[in-house]
Amino acid sequence: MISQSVHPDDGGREGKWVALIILTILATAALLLPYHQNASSEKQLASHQISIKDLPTVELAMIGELRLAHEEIRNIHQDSLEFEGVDAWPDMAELDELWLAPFIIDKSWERKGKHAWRKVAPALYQGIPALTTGSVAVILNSQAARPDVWLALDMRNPAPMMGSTLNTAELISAGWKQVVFTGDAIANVDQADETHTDKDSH
Amino acid sequence: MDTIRHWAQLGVDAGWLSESFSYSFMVNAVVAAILLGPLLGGLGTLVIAKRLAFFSEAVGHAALTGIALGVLLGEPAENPIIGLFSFCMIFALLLHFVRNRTNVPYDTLVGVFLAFALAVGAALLMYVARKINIHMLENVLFGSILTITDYDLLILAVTCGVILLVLIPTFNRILLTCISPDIAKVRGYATNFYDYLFVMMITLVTIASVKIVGAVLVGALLLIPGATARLLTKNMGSFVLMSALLATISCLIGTILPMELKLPIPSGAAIIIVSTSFFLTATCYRIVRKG
Amino acid sequence: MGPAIRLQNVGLKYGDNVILEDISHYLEAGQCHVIMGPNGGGKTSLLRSILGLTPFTGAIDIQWPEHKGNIGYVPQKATFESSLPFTVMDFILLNQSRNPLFWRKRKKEQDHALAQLDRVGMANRTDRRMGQLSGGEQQRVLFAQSLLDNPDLLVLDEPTTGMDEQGVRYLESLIHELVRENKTILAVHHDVSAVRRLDGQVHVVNRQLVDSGPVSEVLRADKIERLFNHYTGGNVSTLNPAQGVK
Repeated sequence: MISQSVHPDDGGREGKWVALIILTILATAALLLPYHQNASSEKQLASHQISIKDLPTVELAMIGELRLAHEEIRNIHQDSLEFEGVDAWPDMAELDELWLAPFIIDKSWERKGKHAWRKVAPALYQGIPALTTGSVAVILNSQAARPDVWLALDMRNPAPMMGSTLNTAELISAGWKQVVFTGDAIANVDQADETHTDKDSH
Repeated sequence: MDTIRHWAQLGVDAGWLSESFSYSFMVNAVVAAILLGPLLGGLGTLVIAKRLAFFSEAVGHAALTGIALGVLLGEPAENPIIGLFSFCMIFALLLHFVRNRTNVPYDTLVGVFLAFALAVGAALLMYVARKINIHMLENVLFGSILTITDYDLLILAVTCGVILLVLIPTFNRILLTCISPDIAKVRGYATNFYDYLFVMMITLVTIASVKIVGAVLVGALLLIPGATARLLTKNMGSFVLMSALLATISCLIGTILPMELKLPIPSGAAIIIVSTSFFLTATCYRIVRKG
Repeated sequence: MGPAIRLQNVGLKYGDNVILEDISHYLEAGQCHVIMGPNGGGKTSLLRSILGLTPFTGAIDIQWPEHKGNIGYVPQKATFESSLPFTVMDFILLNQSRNPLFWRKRKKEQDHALAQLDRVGMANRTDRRMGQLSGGEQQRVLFAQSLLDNPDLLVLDEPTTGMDEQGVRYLESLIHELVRENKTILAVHHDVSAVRRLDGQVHVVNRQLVDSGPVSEVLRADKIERLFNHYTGGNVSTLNPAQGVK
């Protein structure tokens, strides 16, 4: 004969388990938190660099559009490499035809400062504003997968670029500032960009 | 992921897929929708069976506070995962525990917790607002497909995988626990364990969905596809499958369509609108059928 | 062979509310035991305590003759929402295995389920929603569920409530069948004539054990009248007859 003792159903165990789980969560969180701190605030920026977080909104809009344009430009370059075997970067006419912001002339372009865009060299584009209200002069370098954007933040009248390649040293000494993106902050710029472009009438 | 994006690019070039798929965040969003949809639908059926719809609303809103807490404690603003996870999980466990152990009517209890979560969340978020930009708040509340990184997708995939692995062997037990806890106990099922396990699964999936659907509406996504499926199916098996299908379709349409139509509405809103329209259609269908 | 059940000083109270008080008893193996008594007297509480569902005090032992067997439980009712697409077959399968309902159903399980449903006469209703069945039909399905594991101890809480005549007949024949197989049956029952037909042991509970013995002794004409009265016996105070909770 096997005697099975019946256990009454009282609730003490439930409370203990819940407390245990909660404490485990808190302990794990406390343990992991120091490793998951906002890293970008610690990154040291060089004197010629500026974090995207420290840029005024008017620049963010420009940069947002440039980011998307950058992808488009790289796509075109990729296509011409693959399908035509030519290492060609789109010129302004082509970008205009594609109705690609911020190069096209529309209300948004006016608000940004009526930049005159030109293709300085393969993968290198410069825009110099005609107005002082709006964004400053910009250089977009699309050589690498990540967009490389330079802003003439401290310069009143930046000189149009010469030369066929991007000379970083020259830019730095001329006073251009390189924008440093944080990993996910780029996406926020896109969001800012989205709302801006949608309000504009193309 | 790069492979998938490459395929998407090929699809765009071939003309099957539209332009928007050449954006990496778009492909990311679609993958996220495919990962989340079935799980939200499937778990939603249990939420409906257990009448925990209000509860999952509360957990969704707790996500707001969790995010604010994470940012406050120094986590990166785009991914305050420790704060989010810890707060939401503790919140859910406490809520369920208090429900089990006291006589407070359920809707009152959840109402109090929900209001508390939202209030504290709003307060903290305003306080940390100087650290984050305003668009982040909008993203947290209503979701944004633009902010889904590969890292997010990895976490999403792992979370969904784990939940699915746990759900499959425990589904029956959880369902029996809610229909007749007595029968379940006599059969030797650890009813409390399954109860809390379910609560934790709901919380996990809510946390995982916050980025796409947003804290305000994520609870709704556990509810609406299930409610729709309930009107259309005749047994539990097809109920679950139909709910998963509807949730996935809603997520997909909700992420793709605004991009296609160039509507600047947050993805969470779009998904819920699509989901609700399915529900309304099903309701009308049923009314017409009966009348 | 079904088990015997031993109760020693079993008591149950919620706060100041005493439901059961100092019950010591021995329920013999292989018999049909019916628990009767007035409403609120603690019948269901006693049953549930034996199943381990209440915070009782005292000791309850289930004495299996050879090896530990299975317990089948038919609760008084279960909540079935009529809008949930939850069919009879779903319910039985749910009790059988971990194989989730949205997966492919295994034939063996379905056959086993159908066999039990057939024993209660519900085999042709497998596609109906549980919430749409009548109370008596739901009871029948609950009964089928309890038979799944071939229980040696079957516990029934008012099994024929709301049942139609056909259901009652199914049930009684099943109980007789189980008694013939020497299983132990424990049931709370109201229907005196049904209990007579069952011909087992009757135990009257009204917070304490009031009476116990074979049907012929306990359900005598003179005793029956008082069976359902809230009489209190002996030293128990009359101020607080067990109320509400059963």
